[in-house]
Amino acid sequence: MISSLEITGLLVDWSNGDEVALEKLLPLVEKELHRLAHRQLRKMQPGNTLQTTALINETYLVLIKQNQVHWQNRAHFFGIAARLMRRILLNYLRDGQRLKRGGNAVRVSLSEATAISEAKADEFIALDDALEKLALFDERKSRVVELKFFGGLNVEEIAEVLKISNSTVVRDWVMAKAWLAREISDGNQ
Amino acid sequence: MEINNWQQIEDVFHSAAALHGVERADYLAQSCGQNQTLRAEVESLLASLEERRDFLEEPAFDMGMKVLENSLDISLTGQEIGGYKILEKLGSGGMGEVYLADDVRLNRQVALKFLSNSLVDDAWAKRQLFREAQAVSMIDHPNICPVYDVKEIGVHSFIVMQYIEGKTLSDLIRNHQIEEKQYISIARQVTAALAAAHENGIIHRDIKAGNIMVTPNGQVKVLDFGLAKIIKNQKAGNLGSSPSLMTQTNAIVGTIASMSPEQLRAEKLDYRSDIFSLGIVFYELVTGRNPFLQTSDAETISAILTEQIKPITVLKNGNSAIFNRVIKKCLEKDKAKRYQSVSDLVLEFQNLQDKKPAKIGTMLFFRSLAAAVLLIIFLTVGAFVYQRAKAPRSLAVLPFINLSADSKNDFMSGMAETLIQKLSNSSHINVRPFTQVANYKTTDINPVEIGQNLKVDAVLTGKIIEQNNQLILETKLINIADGSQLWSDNSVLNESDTLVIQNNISEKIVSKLQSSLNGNDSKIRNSQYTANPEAYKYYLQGLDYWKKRDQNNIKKAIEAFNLATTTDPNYALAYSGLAYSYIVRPSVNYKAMQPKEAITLAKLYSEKAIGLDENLCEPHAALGAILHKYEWNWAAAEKQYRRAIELNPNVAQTYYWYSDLLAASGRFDEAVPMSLKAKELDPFTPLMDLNVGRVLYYARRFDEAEKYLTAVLKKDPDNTGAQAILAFVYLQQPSAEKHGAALKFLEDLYASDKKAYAASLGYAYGKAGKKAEAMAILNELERTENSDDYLPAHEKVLIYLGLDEKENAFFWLEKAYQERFMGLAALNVDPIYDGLRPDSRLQNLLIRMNFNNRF
Repeated sequence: MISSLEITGLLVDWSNGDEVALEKLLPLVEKELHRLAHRQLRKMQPGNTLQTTALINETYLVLIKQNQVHWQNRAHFFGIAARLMRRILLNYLRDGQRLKRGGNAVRVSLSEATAISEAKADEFIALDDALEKLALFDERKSRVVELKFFGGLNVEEIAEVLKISNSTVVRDWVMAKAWLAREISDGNQ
Repeated sequence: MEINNWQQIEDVFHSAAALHGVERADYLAQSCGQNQTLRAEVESLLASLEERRDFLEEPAFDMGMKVLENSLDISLTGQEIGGYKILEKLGSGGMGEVYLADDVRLNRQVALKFLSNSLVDDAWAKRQLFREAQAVSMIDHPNICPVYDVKEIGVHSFIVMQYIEGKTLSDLIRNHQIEEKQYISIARQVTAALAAAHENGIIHRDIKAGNIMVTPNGQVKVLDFGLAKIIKNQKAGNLGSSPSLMTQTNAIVGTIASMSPEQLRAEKLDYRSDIFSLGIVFYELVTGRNPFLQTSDAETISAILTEQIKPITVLKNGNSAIFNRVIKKCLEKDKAKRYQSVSDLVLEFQNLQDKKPAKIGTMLFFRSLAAAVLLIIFLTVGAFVYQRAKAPRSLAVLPFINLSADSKNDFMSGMAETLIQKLSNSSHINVRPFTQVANYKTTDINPVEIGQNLKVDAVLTGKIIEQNNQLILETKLINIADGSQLWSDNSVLNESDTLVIQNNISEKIVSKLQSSLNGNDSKIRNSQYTANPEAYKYYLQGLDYWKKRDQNNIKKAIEAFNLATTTDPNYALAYSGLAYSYIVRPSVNYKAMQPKEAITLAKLYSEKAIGLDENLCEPHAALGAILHKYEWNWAAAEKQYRRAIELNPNVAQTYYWYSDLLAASGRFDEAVPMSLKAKELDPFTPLMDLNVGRVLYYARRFDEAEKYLTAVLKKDPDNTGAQAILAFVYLQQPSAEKHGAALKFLEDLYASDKKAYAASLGYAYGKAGKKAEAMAILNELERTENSDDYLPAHEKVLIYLGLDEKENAFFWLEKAYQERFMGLAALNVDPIYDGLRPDSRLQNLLIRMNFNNRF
């Protein structure tokens, strides 16, 4: 079992650009999110819901298990959760596409499991590619989209994670949306 | 990468995005010049943005959670457990995974439903699994998938049930594999299954097409009683007579689009909830789609709660009538209007003919996991749509204090932080950010004192204490005004529970705070409000900044309103907030925005708001202000103000502007009471006092103005606006003493904000005969002008008026007119222009400002 100190260390390493640290963190976060999602579902009481921020926050608290929450690290953690969601979703959708092409029947149909249509799945994959492309010349915008769309964070949270102003987040978001929408529709033609 | 002028593209893009139609085209032509590539690039980006408004707007996080659920199973395939050889996975759902297996002893195929890997050692989940087995084994019915056994072997708990070769009804519907002639048969079998369950005292609670199997020979098997509730062993019988016995408090579990209204509201459920869900199944069966399903959960919920379904007209074989009748009655929002028991429904189908059965399929066994993300949405929709939010009430959540012996429980005190986040996201209570309360991690200071320091209405405290080997979170909500306890709660904690407790506590606090502090204020028109709590929060922030209306606050207000409209693009009030902000922006920061640009934007946003809601008061008031202050179209402006008041007679800002128009038109008898009315409606915004004083000043009722403003300043010595107006009142009177007092005010104001008060002080110096000082200010202003700062022409008008230099005053007045300076609206009444009045040039200007139409 990995200690909270090590997790904090990994978060710091990742924030310093160490992608290996991210690879170590992802399974831990994934497991914890998974566990929480389950527990949350069955504990559903009137007035409760899975709320993205609260869920990630609690995941973080559980993993870190310490009293003093370092804001800096917590922000990175939100970043990780968003990255994780993007990866999970895209791996899943790409697998689905592979199976389809390979002629295998997909037993667990996409729509049943995720309420995602196949057209939508294709669009997600195109979006992922476009985001990669965007990151090449405007890394920050691709991060804003990742945090907002895949991480479910709101403008203020994104501003905190990226250390930019709310209005910059909104500007980045609108611009990135326009560019991505065009990129995706160009790709379809 | 390809793009080397990305920054330039972005700048032009954002500016152009704020404009529309001809203005946008003009702007693009001007800013792109000969650079056609740039223009084409920006235009294509704008086009994609406008084409795909909803693109990426619904976060994929929840979808990711669902995939996570489905992807993490550890396959049991190939193993032999307790005499069952597992062959292949058939499907998975929220709590379990279903496998096809060989019963080695009896040599038959069975389906095994295991608890998900993550729930293997979870007592609650295990109980629920056993409960399912127990529930189903009570019913022996051909249309219910029978349970053979329930086993606990090693770490594995599972139900053994009949393996049904077939397809789910939802798959069949989606693939158009059901013929019309089968409808009655399927409906009748599902109804019969449900009747059997109800007769045994079991509510299914998750009736949906995905939980109904149809075998190749057309037999229906209802499965997945994983959420079933056993009410009691007695027969369902006559439900209406003893509802309290027949109901059971329900938790929100299941699939949103298949839920009854009462299930969404987390009310007590009885059999009639299943009947509603059955109605949805029937509807899907005959039309191929769910009647309520929308693209987002919030919309789906809203549809279930409020939308009436349209009659189906698609059936050819004469069964439209029966399905219409049955579906309509099943889907009544009010459960008292539905069939009161399934046996009534059985009767409906009894006399109709059986038709040929359906074909083929493999069994898929599903429950989509996270029906979860609904209640906050629902509750906030409820709170905002059905209840008018009043002024925000404020709350500070203090860090929870760990008084238990074990310091490892310290981490739970971090819950306060999450709670703050949650409350700020989900309520219209103004919650102090964690950074403000983080230091109060002590029991030493009285919470009432802390609350007073933080200027909040209420404080929430939390202590973690240990009692009988249990950890208890004790929370109290304290009213700061009188120190009384509004509410308290003790919740038993266990380490894995925190999220649930946060959810409970925050819901309780929200409702308690609303009822204890707000009172009930329930009259509303829906469209001006937003169902999006985040957008609402930004709107409130914007409003708060707008009321303070200085250079910085207006900028922040615009930012906040922009965030609100970005979050909810249909939020009419937030657009009108933007219009308000742009109207006053030039008067607080000329450099940032000059009147002409402000008018364009303010008009655009007013019209956008009116487009969203013709009956919204605020944008009409905004249009009035534009017409009045910038276009001097007096009659049209007055019409808009009147319309605004007609739509909502309780908005102070309308009267504020209208009283200003009346005063500017010389209609003081109407203007004064109206300015007082504005003040009465919004007693806490300092500008409302300034306005009363200013109207009296325009009316030249200097004594009254002086009395009023002095009284205001006695109560609120920091009301800078009132100080400035009082100074001008003093300056119009031939008294050296009063001139001295005016200078004192304006010198102080100038010291605190040079830019805002320079011209006023210059005017005062001139009036008081201090020519050199006046000239010094003028020189200072001109220096600023030569730097990159923009100086409104009217600043110089004011100083030359003080110095009584008419030629210069007229020269700059003409420029101020060209600039459409907002303050010019008072040209006909403001005493500062009195020196110019005999000159025909002033009359000429007044005529150009349409004053001739009125006088």
